[in-house]
Amino acid sequence: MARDKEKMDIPPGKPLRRVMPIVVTLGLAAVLGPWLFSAYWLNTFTTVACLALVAGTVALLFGQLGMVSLAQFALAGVGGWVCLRLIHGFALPFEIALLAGALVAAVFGLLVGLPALRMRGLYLALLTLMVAAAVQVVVDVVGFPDGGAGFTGKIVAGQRVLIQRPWIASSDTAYYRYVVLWLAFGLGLIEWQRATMPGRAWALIRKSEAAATAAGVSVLRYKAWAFTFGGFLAGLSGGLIAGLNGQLDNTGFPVSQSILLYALTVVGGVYNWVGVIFAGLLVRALPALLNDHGVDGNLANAFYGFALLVSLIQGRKGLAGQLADFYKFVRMSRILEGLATWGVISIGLGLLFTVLGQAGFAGAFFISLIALLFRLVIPGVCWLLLGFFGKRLQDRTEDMEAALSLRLAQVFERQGWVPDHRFIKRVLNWLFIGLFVAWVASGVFDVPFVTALALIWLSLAAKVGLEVAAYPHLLSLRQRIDKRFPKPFASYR
Amino acid sequence: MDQFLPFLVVGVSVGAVYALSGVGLVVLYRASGVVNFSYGALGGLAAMLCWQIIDLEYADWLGWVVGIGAATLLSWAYGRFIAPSLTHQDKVVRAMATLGFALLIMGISQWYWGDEPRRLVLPTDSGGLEFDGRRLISYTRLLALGLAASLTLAMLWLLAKTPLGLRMRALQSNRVLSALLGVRVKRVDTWAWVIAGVFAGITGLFMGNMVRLNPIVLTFLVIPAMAAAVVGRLMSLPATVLGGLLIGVTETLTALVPEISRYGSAAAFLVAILAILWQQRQGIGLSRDNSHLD
Amino acid sequence: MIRIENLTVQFGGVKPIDGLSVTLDKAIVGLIGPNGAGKTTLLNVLSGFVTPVSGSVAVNGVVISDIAPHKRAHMGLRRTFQTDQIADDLTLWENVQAIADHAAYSTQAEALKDVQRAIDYVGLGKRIHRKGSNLTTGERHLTEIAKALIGKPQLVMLDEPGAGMSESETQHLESVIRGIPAYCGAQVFLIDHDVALIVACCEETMVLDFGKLLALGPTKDVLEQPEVRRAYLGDFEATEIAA
Repeated sequence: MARDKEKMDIPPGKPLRRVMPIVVTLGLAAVLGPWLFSAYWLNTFTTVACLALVAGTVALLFGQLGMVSLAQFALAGVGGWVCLRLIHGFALPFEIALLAGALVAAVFGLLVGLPALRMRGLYLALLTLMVAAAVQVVVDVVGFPDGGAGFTGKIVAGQRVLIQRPWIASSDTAYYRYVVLWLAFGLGLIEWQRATMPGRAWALIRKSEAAATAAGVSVLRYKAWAFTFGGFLAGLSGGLIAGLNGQLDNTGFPVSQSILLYALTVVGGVYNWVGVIFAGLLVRALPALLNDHGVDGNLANAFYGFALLVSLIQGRKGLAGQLADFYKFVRMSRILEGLATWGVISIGLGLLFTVLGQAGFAGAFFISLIALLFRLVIPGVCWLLLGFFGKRLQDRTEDMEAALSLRLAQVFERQGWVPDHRFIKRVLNWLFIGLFVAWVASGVFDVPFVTALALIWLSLAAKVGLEVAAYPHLLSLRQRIDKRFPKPFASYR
Repeated sequence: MDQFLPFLVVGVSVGAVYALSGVGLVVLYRASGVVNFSYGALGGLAAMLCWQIIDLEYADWLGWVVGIGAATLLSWAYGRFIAPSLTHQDKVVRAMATLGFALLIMGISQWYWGDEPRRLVLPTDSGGLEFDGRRLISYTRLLALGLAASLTLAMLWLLAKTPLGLRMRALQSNRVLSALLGVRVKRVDTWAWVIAGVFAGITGLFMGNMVRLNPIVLTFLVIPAMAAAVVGRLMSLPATVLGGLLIGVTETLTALVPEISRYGSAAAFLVAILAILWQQRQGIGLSRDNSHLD
Repeated sequence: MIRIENLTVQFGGVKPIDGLSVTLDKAIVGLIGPNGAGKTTLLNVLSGFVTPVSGSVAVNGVVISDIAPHKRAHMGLRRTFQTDQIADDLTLWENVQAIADHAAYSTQAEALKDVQRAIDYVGLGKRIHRKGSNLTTGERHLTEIAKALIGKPQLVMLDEPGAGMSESETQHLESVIRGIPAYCGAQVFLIDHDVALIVACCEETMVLDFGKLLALGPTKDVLEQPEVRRAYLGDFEATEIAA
């Protein structure tokens, strides 16, 4: 079945259409974020946005050109340094310093990367690793500017000076929106290029540098451009991080963070902008969450290493890639139906829980939504986890479960109930989604675990109920929609 | 000259350990095409295990055996069970997978042992060559130099003169053809990973003794090792040794110049980029299978 | 027209091409020879990926030895590769458009028209939105040829374009190759092992053996020469050559 889907001919989306989802989603996030999250989480998500921007450059280089750059986060440090220095030294407006920092990072990245760009891809990975290490050393020694004189701008004795945020974005809320808009800008630019000439040239280079050269593409020039552009956005992100706290810490750009960013970008998915957001979340929000629950950060790192290994073995589509594979081929009616039912359930339960005084509306709304999303994308979550250990194990477990469920279904049938042929799978799924999402939600949304659990299971039950009750009545409507939009969803990009 | 000598001694001995690491990396790369980022992490684990055993009052030699053994075992396991699932992917991806492995090992080591200051003491620390009544070089450092030289020679001999070495070189030249010719690819690969593991264990113990006994620091000591390998163009063992020594000496000698003394650890980067610029002069060509410029 | 003068290529101790001098000026020229004869190496020299130790190569009067590989494409030298190089995530249309991106056109519309024309010429007009990874082998080879026809090529070099194609696909390939000079005025240089294809398409054929020119002339005559038969076709009496 999956293979038939693959065979559908979907024309490439026009550039504007491809950029729209990014702008719209991030725009919504910018507008709605401050209403939904506490100040602490808003700050966290601002950092997530900055990290996502850097992750975006990692994804650009690795996903589009197969180039591993382990120095992107270090380049962010360079950009941040320049930004701070210019503001302290010359009192430049924030944006000018920001862009100047980005430019310097871009040039610096190009200078150190150029020698390796001409050689094997491995050399670039090694060289950027060393760049990251060198930057860590320099930053450690020199520190970040904080109002002092001289080239390094360090205050020797006395109070450190923080830089001011741009006047249009001085409050935490406004700065969050400011950063998210920069993120939309950066990711949008990358996607635009992917949809036009550079993206096509990158695809040729990715497949075969020799063939690209024979076709008239200057491989070196395109690689250098991607590397420079990546450096620019990374430097930009560094300046934004500097603006967040007013300063940068000289322990803030270690090599391990660069490596981790690369690893988690691969895990999140390098072929998709959504994967980049996942990466930002994984790098920043997940450790914060684990901290809340008392899990040692080092074990998290170990897990990320493991996840990177698995992602690479399984073909590096990442989490986002697996999501995209799903929604691209469904029909329009399915999408509309999903949106309608999700909307009804989330808003309804959100209101209910607010009225009962159990949780804030935003929190309840989001928890319900996330639960429904999980149910959609993880039809058999246990199998997904087992997939880490190999396809064969996954398949065999699934076979075992199917056999057991079939037996159970036969029992149900004999009792006169509706036989569910994957009963065990559904039960396990509900359990997992309930426990996992409730665990995350209780940390993020400040909702008690039990309340979250109840909300989640109610949402899932409501969805099933709606499907069973309303489906027959909606069938003709769906058929009409399908007639109007016969092609898979992705073709309407 | 008096001032120089102790620094030179330290630099050369640390450089020797870098060189040894580099040789392990290059041998593995030549045989399997994988640049092993987990080299330092394995060495770190070896050093920590060794320390742990000694701390538990067991015999010193047991610590060494367990340390080096653990590194070898993990390296073998990676090569036997994980690397095969990646052989069809390109070199960069396979190298990145070892990065994942490195993070995994480093995370667990750091979680278990943490950041407490510790020292890995080797029995050869307490003696040394004397000259004019002053200690010139400890036996540990002498041992490091000696091992660097002898193990490198051993590897050169292995690659040039033994059947295993021949098969390794065949594999490096063309993996598919070698398999068709009857070279037992998995077995040769596994041997390469075992050798890499032994090297990682040995260098890990030395680094733990000479540099710092900390899982994260030891993991990232793979960076100078890689710089040494870059000097050797990932091919030549003698050049790798030279690179390692150069990096070690540069690192330590920067301590003599106050302005740049704290930048010592960036020496690896400097040496590597100079090496790459030098190697660039040879121009670009096409790889054997016409699929990429090399 | 290709003029090669005293060309020698050396890799270590091996000389894939040894003192080759030849002028090729027919519209479609074939190149055959046993494996290892230096055919792909010659193509690599022409496309700029291999630097000869001595000798010179001129295409249509222009000496190309000093021109960088990616500039040769702009000059009008196009080649295909033995292992096809179609980008998997791009559609067929985008694959060919990627080539047009780097050719010189006065307007964007002209570029897109050229892309459509090339795709229609090789007969893949119905497949333009198929992703590269979903194309069949035959379609990929044809796409490679379409890519080579973009812009105003002067010389189209085809390296075993028929590998892995079925009988009917090869018939179609034949008509495509034969029509190239009329389609865009380019000379065609065809390397293949399929003797029937060579006979059907090429007026003139060159035979290489161990880097040296073994024969050059009208295809039928060349194939009947005893040295060629011995070196390449084998030593049996009745060899079926398609009429």
